[in-house]
Amino acid sequence: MKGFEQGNEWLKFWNENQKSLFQAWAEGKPSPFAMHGEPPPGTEVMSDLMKRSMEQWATAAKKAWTAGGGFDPQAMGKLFDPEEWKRAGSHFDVGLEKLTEGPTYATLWDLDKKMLNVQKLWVERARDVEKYWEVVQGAWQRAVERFTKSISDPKAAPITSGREMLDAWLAVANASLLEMHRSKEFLEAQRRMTRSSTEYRLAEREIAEAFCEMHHIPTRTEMDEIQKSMVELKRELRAMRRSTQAPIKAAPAAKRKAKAKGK
Amino acid sequence: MRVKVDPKDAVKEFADFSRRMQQGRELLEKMKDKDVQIATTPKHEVFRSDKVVLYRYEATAKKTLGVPVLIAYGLVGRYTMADLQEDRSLVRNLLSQGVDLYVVDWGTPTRGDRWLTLEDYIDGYLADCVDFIRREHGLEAISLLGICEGGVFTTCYAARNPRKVKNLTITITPIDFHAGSRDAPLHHGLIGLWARSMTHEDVDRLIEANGNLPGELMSFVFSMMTPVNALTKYNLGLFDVMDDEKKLLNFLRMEKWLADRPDHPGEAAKQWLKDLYQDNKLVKGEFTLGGVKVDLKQLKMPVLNVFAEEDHIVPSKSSQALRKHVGTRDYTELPLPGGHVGVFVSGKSQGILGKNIYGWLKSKS
Repeated sequence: MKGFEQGNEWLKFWNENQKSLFQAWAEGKPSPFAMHGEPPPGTEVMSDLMKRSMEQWATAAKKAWTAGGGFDPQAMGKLFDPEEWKRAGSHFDVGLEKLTEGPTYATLWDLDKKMLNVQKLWVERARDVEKYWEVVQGAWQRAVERFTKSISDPKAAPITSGREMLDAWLAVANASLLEMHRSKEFLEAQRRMTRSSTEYRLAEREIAEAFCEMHHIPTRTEMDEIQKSMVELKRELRAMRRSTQAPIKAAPAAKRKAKAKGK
Repeated sequence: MRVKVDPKDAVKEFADFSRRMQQGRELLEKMKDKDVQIATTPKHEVFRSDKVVLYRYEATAKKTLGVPVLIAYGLVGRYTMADLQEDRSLVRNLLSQGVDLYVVDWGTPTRGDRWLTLEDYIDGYLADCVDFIRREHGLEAISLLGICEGGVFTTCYAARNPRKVKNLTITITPIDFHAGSRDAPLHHGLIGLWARSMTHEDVDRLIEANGNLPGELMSFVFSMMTPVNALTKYNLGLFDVMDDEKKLLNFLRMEKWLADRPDHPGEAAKQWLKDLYQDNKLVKGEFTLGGVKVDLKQLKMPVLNVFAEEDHIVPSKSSQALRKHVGTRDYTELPLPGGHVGVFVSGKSQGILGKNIYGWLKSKS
């Protein structure tokens, strides 16, 4: 996808500049962006601070969770790589999983957790959509192979017009797609995609409801509750009305005829 | 290589293509929305409850049956299919033979209707419509004509209120929701496969997230049964009919009906998908409404079961399953050629469906 490629290019450029800047600080040199001349006053102190900070970070990174502990230091890098977001797979969810499944302290960071949860579900949804399209793509691929074989078959009836050719292709494609729609692989991929889209939508609703609560707006859940009460009340009213109605008895035939004509 | 196209034929084919495109463009340009109106048979509102409206059709012939007929369609789609256009209308065919005809319109459910259950539709709205007609005509019982999901509604209602139903006609109605999937053509019974690919929890969460079962989702599921047609109908399908005004209008009216697919109220959809499509409770005798089991053996009135032999949505075996469960010997099956919707809207079926239903009703009067 072009957008991601551009994003990655920008990220690479930004990383290079940051690296040069930190390198310059660590070595006590002037900033690569500074004007030529003597280093500004305080550069040495800055350099020392930077060195110590980087050593501390390096030690922390080495001690960071490893494969056994869950967190992979590379995961953080992947976490910020837009290409990985599109791919929606392993590293990104691992990081989010850690953050969303951490302990809850009353309402502290509640909204942040909800936001992270939505991110996590978005990734899962994207992964399931991707899997679904893989299955669909497979069916189209099979259709192309079958059609190619079919038109190369010298024993089959000749195709004498463009429309015949199109119809032959559509018949092959239809059969291949139907086979796919009945397959366990497709049904499962579709089920997972529908479910993860559903879960994403529900998590999104939680955030929308948090916003509503903050701004004194009734939430979807509250509206649902009100509507449920309304339906229940109407149901009771209907039952009461029915219980008070006189039973319907068949009218004499002559009266029935007159009534039916009158309508 | 099979492809043997003569260049002269190719040029002629291209010329035909261009001509048809030109004619089609001219036809489409002059068409107005009023040309593709559906369900135009005159009728008037006689009863209303919430979004549900009961209509009575204007008579077009002298009444020949003493008992009125109430048409009930389901919630997956709209009743307008029974009155698609003047020359393709079960409604007009029955009226022309002197049937006093009513139809219930369930309206267009919105999020606020998510809590409506099948009990609300069958024991509530449908029951109210039946009582209204009984009261108006001074009758103990009337005739019901259910279509698709509406056939399940009328079947359940009749089983629970056998004294209020004189005759029961069901058309293209699923009864055994698991029947007809095996050894069927590839595109048959896909709704059942789709419904059963989900767990109960999947269904619950889907409804929780959307409130209702979205009409667009059901349209997508239907399109899976005819995938290439779904992909090509607005190019190739339209192209095939675009130089013939009558065919083009038929096409557009059909598309109008297909596009008018309301959301299915959520709680009722849960029952529809879980109790019926997944667990097949109706034929197992386990389906309950308001806590009471629906006993199909209570169908003691005459029953006419109309099904389509090529029905890819409701396999004919699914409809025919009713035979084993009814409590009457006066049970008739009417198999018709064609598919699920074709039974109602195809040119071929126009002379058959209405005539046979009327003939059967007349024989029971």
